[in-house]
Amino acid sequence: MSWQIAALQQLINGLAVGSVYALIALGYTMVYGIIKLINFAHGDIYMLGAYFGFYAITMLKLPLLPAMLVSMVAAAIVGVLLERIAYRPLRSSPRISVLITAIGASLLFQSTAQLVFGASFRPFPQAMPFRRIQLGPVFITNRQLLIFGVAVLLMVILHVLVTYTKFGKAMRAVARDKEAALLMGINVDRIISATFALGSALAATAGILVGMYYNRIDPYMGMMPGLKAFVAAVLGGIGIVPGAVVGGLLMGVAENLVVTLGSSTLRDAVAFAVLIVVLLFRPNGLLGKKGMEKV
Amino acid sequence: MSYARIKSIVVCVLLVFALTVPALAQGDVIKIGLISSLTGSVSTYGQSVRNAVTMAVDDINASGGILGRQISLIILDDKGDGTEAAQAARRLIDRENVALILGPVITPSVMAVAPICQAAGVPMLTPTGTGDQITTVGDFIFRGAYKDSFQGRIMAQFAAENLGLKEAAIIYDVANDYSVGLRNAFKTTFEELGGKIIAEESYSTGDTDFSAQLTSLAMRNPQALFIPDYYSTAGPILMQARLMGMDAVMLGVDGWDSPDLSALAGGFEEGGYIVNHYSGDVDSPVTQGFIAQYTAAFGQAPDALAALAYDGVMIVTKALEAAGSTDPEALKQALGTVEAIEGATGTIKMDPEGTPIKSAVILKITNGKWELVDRIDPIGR
Repeated sequence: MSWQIAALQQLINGLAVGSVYALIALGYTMVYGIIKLINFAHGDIYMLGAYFGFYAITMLKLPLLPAMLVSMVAAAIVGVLLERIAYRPLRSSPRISVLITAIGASLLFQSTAQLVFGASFRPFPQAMPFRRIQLGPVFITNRQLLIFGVAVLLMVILHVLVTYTKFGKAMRAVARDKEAALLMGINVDRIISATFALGSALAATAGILVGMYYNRIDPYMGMMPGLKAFVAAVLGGIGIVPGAVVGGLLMGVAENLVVTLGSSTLRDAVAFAVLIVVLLFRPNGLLGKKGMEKV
Repeated sequence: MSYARIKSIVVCVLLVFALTVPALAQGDVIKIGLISSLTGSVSTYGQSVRNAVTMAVDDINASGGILGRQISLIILDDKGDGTEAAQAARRLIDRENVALILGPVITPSVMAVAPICQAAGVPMLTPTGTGDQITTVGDFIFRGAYKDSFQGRIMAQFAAENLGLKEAAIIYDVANDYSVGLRNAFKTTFEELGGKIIAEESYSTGDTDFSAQLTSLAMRNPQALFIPDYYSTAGPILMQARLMGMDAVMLGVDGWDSPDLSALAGGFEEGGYIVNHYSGDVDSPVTQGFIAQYTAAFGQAPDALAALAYDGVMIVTKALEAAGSTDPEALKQALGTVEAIEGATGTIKMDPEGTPIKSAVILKITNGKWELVDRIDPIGR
């Protein structure tokens, strides 16, 4: 087969992985948008989400979608607690203190997960038959379809939530100016908690989708995807919700196309090279506006 | 003298006793350190190794020990990680003063520990490490398994001659010496025998997404796919490859041997071939005795890792008896010259570089079980 068909197939693979990056990146970007914190523990929430899903399917014997809901709720609670316990007391501290706390929280989650769930690599319960749908010369698996379906659905819900609801308006107000929002009678603490809950739930879904897709979960699975999703968020313009989606998809497609057009060893390198190139020309990210950052 | 003073002196004296009594008792035990990967990405290997080693050591101690001394086993977990393995080795050598180190289990960990043992002059025997470079570290370094160049060659020969394959593809881990060594050996032999490697892709340790690489490979439609990696990575690769509609014959290595492979591969390992150290189908009394004892003790049949670890203890026992002491120099000499050991994996004889001369088996996964297909003697290796 020609390289064009291979490239098309890689595009589908790339969009699947990219959707996962996008789901995680949304959490990074929303939290950054609202409290200017890079939540480095976010990749580990994604890992916890995968484990919550694992136990919901194996121990609670739930089908896939209810298990996903259980995992989203559980991860949202972890996210809210993380903010409440670790980040809120530091809200008026220098940003670097919170950043270090986030790294600490990340390590805490990894080690605790290793202790509680065990360090072994686990297969993910395959709660769905294996299917492949042929689309002319290329194909798409039912797992990839599941990823697209869930990711698009969640992104649409998020978009509606942020753009058209009162909660979304409050969220945007807090992101713009916390003090002014407070004066307008917005409960800033509650909005921040909700943002963490939302981001964590999205990451948890990504964890389950990846578990189904790759059939392997472990306590350190959040490190690389977490990093890549963070890069994706910066790529699209951190703090900008559609930017996270664009960045995530771009990262996924770029690293998959490299394998067809170049070498598989360069895969991770290219993902990060894309970031460097984009930031050289657009320091605020692809969708970022100039001078957004207050200096 | 005040009461408090007396009390503190008594406490001091008791403390001194507490510290010296075990030290005196240790005089008549032989301390052996075991570094095994009990947790982490290759945890089933480490657990099998620990089970078999403790079983063998308990047997030896029950029948009076070696040289009239009991064996005291100190087990440390390296989590399948080189840095942890090196720390474990330092602790065993500096703090525990072990006479010998058994392990680590996988090549990257072994390569982290071997230079430490060599520099400290403590003999080390990895029962399971297959990387070619292991025994080149020095004269204190031994292994109980065959080498990757042997293993990779056997699989290539089997693929080219027995299966009659002309074209194969390879997917391997560029960041792991084990995987790279096997890929090199397989490629060289397969091409020497007139076969062609039509496509090759690589990934890095810890990757979980192989769809890009496998898509590339699937486009070339190879007859066979060689996957030289541990079960925790080979499993997901097998599943993802089959999901892409790849119908190639899957060729594997000893790293696939794990009770967890099937779950990680989603059952798609069926029909695959591997080279291994041992098969439970071999009709030797030692092998069958080992299988019976292990199954009774741990409730599951031993894998090759367990068999190798058991034999590792046999090699060490024989060497200690021959050396007559735990003197590192004497023990090193003895380890280098052990022979005619009837182990669970066959007859063992150490070659001059510290690798035993042993046979290999080819197994096929049929209905979820490993079935013996062929047995290859180590002639002309």
